[in-house]
Amino acid sequence: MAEFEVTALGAGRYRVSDGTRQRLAYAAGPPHARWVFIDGHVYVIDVSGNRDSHTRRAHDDDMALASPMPATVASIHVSEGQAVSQGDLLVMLEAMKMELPIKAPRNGIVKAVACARGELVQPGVPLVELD
Amino acid sequence: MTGLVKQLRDRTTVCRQGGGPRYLERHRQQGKLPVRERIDLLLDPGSPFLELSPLAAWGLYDNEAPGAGIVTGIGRVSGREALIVANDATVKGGTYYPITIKKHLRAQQIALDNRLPCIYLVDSGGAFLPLQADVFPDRDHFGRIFFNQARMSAEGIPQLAVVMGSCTAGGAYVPAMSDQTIIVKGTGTIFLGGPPLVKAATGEEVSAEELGGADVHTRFSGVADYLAEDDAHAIGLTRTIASTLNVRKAVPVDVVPPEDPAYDPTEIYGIVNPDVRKQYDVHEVIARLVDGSRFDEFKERYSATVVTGFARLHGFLIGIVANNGVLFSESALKTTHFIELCNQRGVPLVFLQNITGFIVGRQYERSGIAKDGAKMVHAVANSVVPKFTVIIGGSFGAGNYAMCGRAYEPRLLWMWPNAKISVMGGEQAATVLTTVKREQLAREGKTLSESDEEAIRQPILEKYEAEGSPYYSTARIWDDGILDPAQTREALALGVSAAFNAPIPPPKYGVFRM
Amino acid sequence: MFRRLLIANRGEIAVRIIRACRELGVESVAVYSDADARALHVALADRVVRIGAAAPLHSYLSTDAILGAARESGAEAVHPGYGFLAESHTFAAACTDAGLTFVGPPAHVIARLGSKIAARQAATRAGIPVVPGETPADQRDVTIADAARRIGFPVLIKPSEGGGGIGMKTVRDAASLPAAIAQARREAAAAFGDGTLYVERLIERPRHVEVQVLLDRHGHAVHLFERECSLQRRHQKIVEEAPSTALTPRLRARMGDAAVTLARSAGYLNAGTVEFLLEGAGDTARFYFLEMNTRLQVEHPVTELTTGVDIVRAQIAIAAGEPLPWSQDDLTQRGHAIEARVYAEDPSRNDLPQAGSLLLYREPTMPGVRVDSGVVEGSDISVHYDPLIAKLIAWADTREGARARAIAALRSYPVLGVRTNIAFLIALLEHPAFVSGDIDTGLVESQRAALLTSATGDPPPEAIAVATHASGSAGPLDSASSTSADPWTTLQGWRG
Repeated sequence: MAEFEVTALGAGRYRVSDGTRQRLAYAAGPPHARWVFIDGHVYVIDVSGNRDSHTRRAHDDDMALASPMPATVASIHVSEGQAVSQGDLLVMLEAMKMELPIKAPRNGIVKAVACARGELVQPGVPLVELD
Repeated sequence: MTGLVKQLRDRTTVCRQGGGPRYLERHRQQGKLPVRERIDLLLDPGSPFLELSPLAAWGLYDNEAPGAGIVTGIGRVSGREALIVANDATVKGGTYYPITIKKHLRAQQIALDNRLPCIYLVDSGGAFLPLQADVFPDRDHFGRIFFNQARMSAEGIPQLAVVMGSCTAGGAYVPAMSDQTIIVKGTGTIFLGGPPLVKAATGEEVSAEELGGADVHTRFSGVADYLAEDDAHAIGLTRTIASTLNVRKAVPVDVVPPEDPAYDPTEIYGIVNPDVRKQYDVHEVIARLVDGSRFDEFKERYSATVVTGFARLHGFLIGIVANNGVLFSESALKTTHFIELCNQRGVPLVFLQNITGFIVGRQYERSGIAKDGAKMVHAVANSVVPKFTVIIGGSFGAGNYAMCGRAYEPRLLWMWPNAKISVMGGEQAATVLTTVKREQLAREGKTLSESDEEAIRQPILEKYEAEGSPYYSTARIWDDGILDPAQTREALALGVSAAFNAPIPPPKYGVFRM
Repeated sequence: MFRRLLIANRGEIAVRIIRACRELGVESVAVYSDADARALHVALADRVVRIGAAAPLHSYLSTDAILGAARESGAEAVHPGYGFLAESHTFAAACTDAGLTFVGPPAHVIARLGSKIAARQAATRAGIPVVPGETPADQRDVTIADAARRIGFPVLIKPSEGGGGIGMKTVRDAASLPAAIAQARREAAAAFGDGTLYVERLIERPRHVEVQVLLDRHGHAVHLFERECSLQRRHQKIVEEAPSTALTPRLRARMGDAAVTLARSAGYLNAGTVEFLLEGAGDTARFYFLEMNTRLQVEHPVTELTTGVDIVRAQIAIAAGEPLPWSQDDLTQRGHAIEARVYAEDPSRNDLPQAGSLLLYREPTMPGVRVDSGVVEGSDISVHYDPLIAKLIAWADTREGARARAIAALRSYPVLGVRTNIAFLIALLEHPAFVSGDIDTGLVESQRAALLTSATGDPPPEAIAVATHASGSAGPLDSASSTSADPWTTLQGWRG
């Protein structure tokens, strides 16, 4: 790809040059949708480099399937061999005045349930294993 | 949640009616405009009004003082944001109950924090005498109003008064202490002692108009500066004066065109469970508050129970701190880091508070949860950027402090109708107290029967339930109002924008315990 | 002349009329809906009156609201622009009843010419050809075939109740008639429950050519020659020009005379446009009356640039009772003008209208280029109204000169924040058929795929380079325009 030299001229105007020929361009808008006008054509370009951050990225299984803190197992909602979909409730914990749902981070089959109702569980230990 | 929002709207409607139709009729017969019409006229046509604590005094004083008899809020007058304080004379003659004073002082505090010109639409009989002990003597009682006026005037924050009814005794100082004062002919009066007091003291018989009317004060005494023919004329004069204040708002450099959230804010009703025990992902709330639902998350993979990151709100860059569970040491460190970032860059902070507290337990105390929590509290307390807090769920214990509760001086603090606020949960308090009782009895060789235990528990649960309600809070002005969750975005945007009227000083901290 | 005139419209045409008022020394009154509180026409007028909510029905289409505004502002005349109430005879009558001068023809004339059937009859009476066609009273195959022969091939046989092309058959010779009639009747009966057929002369590759007329209260009538309006998408014009490449001086004179004759016979007053379908080109071409538009046309600037007549000014002067200052012999066409309509729409998505804020908007300024617009940088393009942003009109002494100028101007016309058809317009003006002038009303639709290919595409590397370079800043919004986006300005009426 050719190298272009771009100079900001202020008020949304830019000079873009390939070393020999130059053109006047205009740009405006936020990085995720930057509008650029060159020579009668308009382009909308995402230069933010961001992923779509309002959709949650999947965490590692271990992180998602363990309690975040010492907690009591209030109820277990799956059994071994059961197929689960992302977002399904697996285990409900209780701690510090809160219900803490442990949900499936992805689709899968329950390989093992590693806790029992009423049990006090420690953080970091996976409560369910998924295949 | 929809039910809670409807209840909020119904209650707000009740409060906005002030003293009711009978008093309103009498008010109009005197040639006076109702307080909300005065405000509508004062504001730039069609511009928004960010009303503060409309439900103040809810459930207090036998509900005799809807809204505490005073309307306060931020609105735009002649192109600049101003803090408006307006007495509602249909409510007990606009007299000051203890909560009325608190509401007036809170409005002045907001004006001071944000450097907003103050416009007082005065129509008040002064202190509510039956409660004089609770309105007169203390630091944050009636006298503080005039202290604030003097201090703000000294700070260069304009103080304008419009006398549209009586200003008697101490109340006379509101116009007298203002930079510029307008008085309405026929209805506006200012005097230290009214006709009855004068008669009692000297035997002189004099009418209110002769004693302290518009003509007297604009021609002889000089207590007021402009004479208005009626309410509408007075408001017109005020708008003219407001256009000569020579103040300018410093809009931040980095503002982009505003954009609606990609997700409908009313969907919050379905996301947030009114039961604060039920967790939900706070990202879902953020997506319904910010421009384009875009959230640039900071330290996403580190201590996920607190969510930090940057977003745009009506084009303004903001930093968000939101709870997604209990606060751990790591959460406190992450948040402290993020708050430092925002302070370094002058980015306003928005706290979305839904917090049961810091983690407890042996291993956490050993690793110093208290000192890490202290770092976060320290960073919040010493923040120089404008802070805003919305209690979107529970607000319990030290979590309230770290997440910028009332004591940490957020520029504005709101609650959602589902919020709960108390030092600990009712269940926990009941358990603690019954445990204490049981141990006490055990030392005496006795036991606590199940029915005795219930007799201790039940009243505690009920007390915590009642006092944890957002209405209990807003009645006492522990907050600046209860927000419809779907309107939170607009309220925050108006607050953030208004905050830019005050410059942001360079960051400064004390000693962080390491 | 009037002291004060109310403009019952918005957007570019309201701005155009305000400018004419200013030249005439007439005070302008703009009306606006809530969506337009910060619109350009509201900023430019001498007086403004809010007339209601954003939805046109509650504002620009509300006779009561507009007459109320006229009363409140003390206006003496009402200019309806185009669209909205411009062709409503009841609105024109209501203006007259309210003691206001309506800038346009009398209400009863609008009513008569607004009916397609009545207008066609009026044209026939005035001796103007209409597209030959009839609904034979006797619907037997033989009488329908007779009608087809009378009209002359090729013919179109279609359901008299119909629409949308259903049951429509093209017949080029007598031999194929019986089969076509039978099939059309079957389809008509199935689709409309009525097998009655209408036979019409098929105009192949028609052009849409219209003639501008002006008539005053003193019996003077002139025409301002023709406009070529064949380039249409979805029956809406996007590029117009004057003169038409299809007309010879003789044909032009005949069509002009026909238009004036029709307008006179209909008792017409003020500016109007007679639309014709044109078959063929040159002296042998045939023209047929289509309809008469009883108002100012969107594309009036091409006539203004080639004749030197300010049509809007003339409209107001005529309404004020002034005589036309020219006779037909004073009027000539000079040079060539091309208008391109810039719409907020996405040609690659079926011309879907676009809404949003104009983040950056710079109109080209160069000799021979005129831009009629109703927006400025920072304006909102709302979903409530027609998505026309502006009209770019280029004039030069030759057609090729005007074409090159229009293209050069469109290439220097950055509109960012809302998608527009600018690249599509450039592609159309560069299309070989347009270059040669051999155009017809079907051109845009038949060439759409090719036009889209040259109008769209992935961003070239220099565009990406500019986008990346620009990332450091938020764009051109300076603090002045960012203040206008402040929530205290934009959250109208918010009360929590």
